[in-house]
Amino acid sequence: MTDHAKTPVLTMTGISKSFPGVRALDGVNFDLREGEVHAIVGENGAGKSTLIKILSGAHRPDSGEITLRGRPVMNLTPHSAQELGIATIYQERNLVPLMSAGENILLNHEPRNRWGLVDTRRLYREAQEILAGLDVDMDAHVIVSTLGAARQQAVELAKALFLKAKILIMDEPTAAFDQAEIQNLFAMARRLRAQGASIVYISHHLEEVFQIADRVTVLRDGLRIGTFDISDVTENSLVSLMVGREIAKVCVDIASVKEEEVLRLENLSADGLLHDINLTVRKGEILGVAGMVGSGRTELARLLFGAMRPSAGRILFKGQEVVGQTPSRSIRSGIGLVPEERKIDGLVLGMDVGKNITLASLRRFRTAFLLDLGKEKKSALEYMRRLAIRSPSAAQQVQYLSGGNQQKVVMAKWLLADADLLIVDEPTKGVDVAAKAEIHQLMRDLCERGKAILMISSDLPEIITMSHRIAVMRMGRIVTVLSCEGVTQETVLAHAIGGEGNGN
Amino acid sequence: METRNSPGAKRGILRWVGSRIDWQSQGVLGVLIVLIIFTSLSSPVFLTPINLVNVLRQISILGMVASGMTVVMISGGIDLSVGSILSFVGCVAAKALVHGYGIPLTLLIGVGGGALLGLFNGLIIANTRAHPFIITLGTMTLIQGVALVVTGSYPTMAEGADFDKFLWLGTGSFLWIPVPIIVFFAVMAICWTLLRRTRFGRHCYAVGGSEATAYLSGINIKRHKVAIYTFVGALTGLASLVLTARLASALPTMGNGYELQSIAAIVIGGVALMGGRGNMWAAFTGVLLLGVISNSLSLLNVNAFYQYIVLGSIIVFAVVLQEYRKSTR
Repeated sequence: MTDHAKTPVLTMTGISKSFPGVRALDGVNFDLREGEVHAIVGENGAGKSTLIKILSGAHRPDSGEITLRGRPVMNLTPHSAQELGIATIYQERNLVPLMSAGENILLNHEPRNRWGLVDTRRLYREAQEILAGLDVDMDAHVIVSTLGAARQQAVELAKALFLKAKILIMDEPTAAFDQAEIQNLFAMARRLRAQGASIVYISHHLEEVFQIADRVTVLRDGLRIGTFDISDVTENSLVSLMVGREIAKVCVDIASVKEEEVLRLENLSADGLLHDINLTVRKGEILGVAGMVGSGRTELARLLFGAMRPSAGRILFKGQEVVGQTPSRSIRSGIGLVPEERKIDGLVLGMDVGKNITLASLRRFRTAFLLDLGKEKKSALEYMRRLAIRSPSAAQQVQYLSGGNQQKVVMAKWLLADADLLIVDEPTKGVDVAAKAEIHQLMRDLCERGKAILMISSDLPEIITMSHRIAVMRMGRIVTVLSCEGVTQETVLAHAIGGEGNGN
Repeated sequence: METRNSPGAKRGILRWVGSRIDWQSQGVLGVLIVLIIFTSLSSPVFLTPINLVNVLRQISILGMVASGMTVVMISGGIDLSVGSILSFVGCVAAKALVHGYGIPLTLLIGVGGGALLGLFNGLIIANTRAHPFIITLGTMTLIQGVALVVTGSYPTMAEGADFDKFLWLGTGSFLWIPVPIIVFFAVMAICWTLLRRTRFGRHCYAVGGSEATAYLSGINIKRHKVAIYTFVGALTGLASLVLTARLASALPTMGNGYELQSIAAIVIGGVALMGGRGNMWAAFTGVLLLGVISNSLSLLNVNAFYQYIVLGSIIVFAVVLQEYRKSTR
């Protein structure tokens, strides 16, 4: 690192921000040097998102100062932040889906010809150059909605590059990316850094932080715990700084698995998506389903839950063949689904915590025509307590909860519905370390009580440590079912990416 | 602890009252109070019981339609056909009375006919992916056309003993309270109970808040949508009977504009256009505001044409105020 690299491009001093019932940030200091990748880590609810939302102008701080290259910045808005060269790449893609990559990259900066009309040829030429500069092999004419998540992100980076962004904020950029895609992203990030951009990088994946970051800032409960050079910390020391306590490592216990089959799939297929799936899940068992994104895992979950129809094969649930499945029938027969996209499929964000918990079990609180609201609230509170859901009250809107607590609300919904088979899709995606441990413990407890769990996950350590057996999927097929003994992340990954990926 | 007991209890009552009121409609409440103070200072008539009852009677039809609209909009839909249903059902009911079908059957035709038209809307909306705005825009025109064809665009005037008795629904009183007001409050009470205390109501909020989540929580979305539009149709049919009784005649165009007025009223009150949020209190304050505005303007002898301008401005102002409050929270 040269000396000029130590000049701060950005400093944030004494930033505080409160939301109803939550003190999200409390006097946080943060600085970003030129040409560095500065990671922010912390549990969900630690204040990372709030901090970057303030930096990108989406939130206004209650107090504190922001200076950019020594000059104080007042009243940052998303628009002025962009003009100051701050670009944010959110978890949720920020592109116009039905426009082409090129149109998105130059959006609002379209080159005009002398008639004042958009010069399409120049637009695509410029966009193509920018993509080439990032070493992305993509036709600028391609429509964004047809691209996968990783390719869409490349378009966003290209857009930031076009806008000559000096500060790039990346919030959980690798969620649901596979290894190759992550490495591609890092390569792009390094290229941007080499061109003098500074990057704020937020991630739950510490191994990524160690790969890409120069410095790391730890937040906990809205406070800055410290900022460190990456060489001065280890993964373990970071985790204990983030959590403030040690998390016991519990190994999977085979004792809970019973003989009785809860679910049996025979030659199950869905046109073009799933082929000849044969699987069983037993009482008290966690069956892990691993595989790359797009390998058919989510389709399998939706099919089992009745949100999609099979084209061939049989599903037997508790020994009975299931036909004409719909979500409502699944729930009544004892199946629950914790979907991957909890904010879209799992929760009604504007509804309160209690009502989200009881949404799938309202039948139980019905007396004649009316709901017994008192009984409903009692149940909701009981499950909030049992799952240690941190919320000021049952009447708090679920959108104000942190990711981990939101996920616990979804879990509580199915616990209350008393599901015998729980299908969980990415149960700890975007969830902080402590909540992750709690969710894992919860799943183990459910197994102890004789429930069965089918767990889909991209998180290999999670798959390895939580599953009794692991089914690996690739291109809509189950390629193998591994028993938990002696299995390593490498074996699972090798099966998931198939023969040609072994050279990695 | 002992000494704090009584203020604590007082605060408890305040909090109880506070929890019953949707503070999103505070902006409307503010506008309403300012308007009431201003009008009562300018016109001695305004605060008299007779005038206040008059305001309630004037808003009762709109209020019934708006109550149904609230249920639809909370569940993320919209129904533009209510105005046409109001016209059509009224004409059919009036013809039934004139042709001697008798009052009980007429009531059934009114409410049931409205429900059938709603069912028609609901079946199309539930089974296609088209937006209810467009579907009901179409059925609005369709039903209007049928009403004009059936009546030959002539009004159906009251005649016969049955019709005279039927007029009680629009002009009579019960315990000194005009019947339309009683029906209006009964409709609001039904909708309030439905939204707050039933599975159906909870499902409205869930479907309006996130259809995907509602579906994956086991809610039968199609059946729910069919039920909602049928319900709105039935309420509109009821409103149509009251309107016909009040006018002592039915015109094939008498419902024109009710759809937009009811939407405007409840959005002013704080019901979300995008669904998922709102309640009957918001609907009531919105409808009341519109009623008080038009009453004040009449009392102040403002030319009817200017009333449109004032009304429009207040609608825009109230909604902007609300959005502003939302963004500064």
